[in-house]
Amino acid sequence: MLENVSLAIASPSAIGNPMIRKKVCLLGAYAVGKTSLAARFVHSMFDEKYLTTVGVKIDKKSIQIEDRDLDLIIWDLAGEDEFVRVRTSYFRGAAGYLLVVDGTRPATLEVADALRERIRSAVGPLPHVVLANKSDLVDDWHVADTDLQSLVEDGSKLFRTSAKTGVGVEEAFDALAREMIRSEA
Amino acid sequence: MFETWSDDLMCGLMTALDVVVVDYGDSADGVLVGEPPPWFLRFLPESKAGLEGLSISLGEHFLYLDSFLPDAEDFWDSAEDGRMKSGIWTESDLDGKTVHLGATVLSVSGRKLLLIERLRGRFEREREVIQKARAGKLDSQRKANEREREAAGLRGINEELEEAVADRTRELSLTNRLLREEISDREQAVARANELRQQLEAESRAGALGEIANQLAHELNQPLGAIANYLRGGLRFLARDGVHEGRAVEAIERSLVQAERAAAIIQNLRGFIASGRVDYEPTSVNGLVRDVIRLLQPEIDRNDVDCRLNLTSSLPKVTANGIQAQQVVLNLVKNAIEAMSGLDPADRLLVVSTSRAGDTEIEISVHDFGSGPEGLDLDQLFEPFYSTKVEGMGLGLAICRSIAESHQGSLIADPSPGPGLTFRFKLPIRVETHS
Repeated sequence: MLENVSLAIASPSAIGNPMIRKKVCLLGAYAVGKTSLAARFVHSMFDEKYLTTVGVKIDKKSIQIEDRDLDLIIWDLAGEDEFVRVRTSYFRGAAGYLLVVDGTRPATLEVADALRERIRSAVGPLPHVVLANKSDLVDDWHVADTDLQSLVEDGSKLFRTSAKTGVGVEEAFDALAREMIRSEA
Repeated sequence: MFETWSDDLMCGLMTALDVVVVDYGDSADGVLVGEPPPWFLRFLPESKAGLEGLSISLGEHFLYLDSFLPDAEDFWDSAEDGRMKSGIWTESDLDGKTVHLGATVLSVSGRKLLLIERLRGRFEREREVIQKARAGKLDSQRKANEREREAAGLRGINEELEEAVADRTRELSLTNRLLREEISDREQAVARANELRQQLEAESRAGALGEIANQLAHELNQPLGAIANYLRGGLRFLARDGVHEGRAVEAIERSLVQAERAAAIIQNLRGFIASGRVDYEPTSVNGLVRDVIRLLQPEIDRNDVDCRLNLTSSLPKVTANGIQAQQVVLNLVKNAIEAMSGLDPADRLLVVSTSRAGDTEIEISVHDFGSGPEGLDLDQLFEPFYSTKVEGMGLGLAICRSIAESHQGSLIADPSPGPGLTFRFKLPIRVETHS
């Protein structure tokens, strides 16, 4: 016979985990490279094959920022389009986010802008950085610098990244983590 | 829902469906119903893997639930029967294996249930559908980008071509302008050269007049002296009572001949120095040579030069301006005389020849037996202001060649074997009359 087992829903602080846990969301249109950026950051890996994310993929990476241990819980949200709509509930509890655009597809800037508005409406202003990804595809780059600058008019930082080569990826996550710590103070 | 949670059938059913059922009852603690499947246990640490005394926060080990359970509590608090589904999520278990999961919150007659399901085929099917649709869109975008890139490339090539054509057109325009300027400059230079040549020829004729004035005076002195003698003789015959009238007439007639000779010499001189219109007419080169030699005979004699004429008979006439052609020969002969001034008189030999040069030309050659071409630059000899003489202006041969060329002939210095130097002056047999 099976026995019933009691489970407790406990917050990390209740367990006494000294690690600071921060939920960060990766937002952007589909196929901008959010999953690849997470894989590069968490596992230092890159896979050329495109596999669309369904729902959300959650990863974790521990980092140290300014002598503080930080657990980044990375919510890699499915890209939004006419087939998939990002649940606003996914934003709950987020401490910051990375807004990703694809430098080879100008239309991804509009999606990014709309997502930023939605997360603002849902949870208020949060620390965030903007990633112009696929910087390795120089010949296919179609996004003007002025358009990218319009995405960071709110004072956020812009990073040109390549999940394929790793360029700018660590720097972007590091900048977001510092921003989250600063905003906490 | 279930009458008793220990019901074997229902728990077995949930296990078979890979569904974990958690009953939250009236408190925040959940109760795991039935035996959890292995994939669920791999999310829990070893120490908590045993079922006995399991007390664990789902939110700690299922990161998604940490955010989702507050939504579940809100749903349960609404006190309405029904269900709320979570989205699909993917997490890694403690072995690092990714698992696709979905949760359903149930509220049934006040019971709070959470169902956690491991998604296998459903996840793959859903992803396949979405990915296929997105891949099609991506492919369309990629092709559109390629078309745009190709169009941009073509535009670039077109612009480059247009730019190249514009550059080439500018270059051609510039070249054309430069050519026009060069042509204009050359035409001006040629016109100026012709003007200078004509001036030089006129000046040379005037200079030559000065040079030959003494010779002319000497030549005129003879007929004038003869005229005076004949006239004096005639007067004496007439003074003798008319007895010697016939002899007086004879003396007067002779003086007339000499006067006509003097007039001819003067007429020749006038034609020689006249500038302006140049008339070309059939001219005998042998006659021309003889006239020059006769004119220079006093100088030839004065310099003890042995002048020999080697004239070919029956030569066709050339069409030339006699005075200019004489000037050329005169210059050449005078130069030859001067070239031999340093030689012993016995060695001063001058040969002036005429001959055919091919079918179209007659050649007048002047050969001296002087020091020859040694030390001379034969090309420079014909350049203006080049002279081997202390007092020479260096224009004589330059003008001579200019005259030869204006007759469509030529003048060269020929360093033929043997002593001395030969100048060859060629004139075409047939030349159109021109001004």
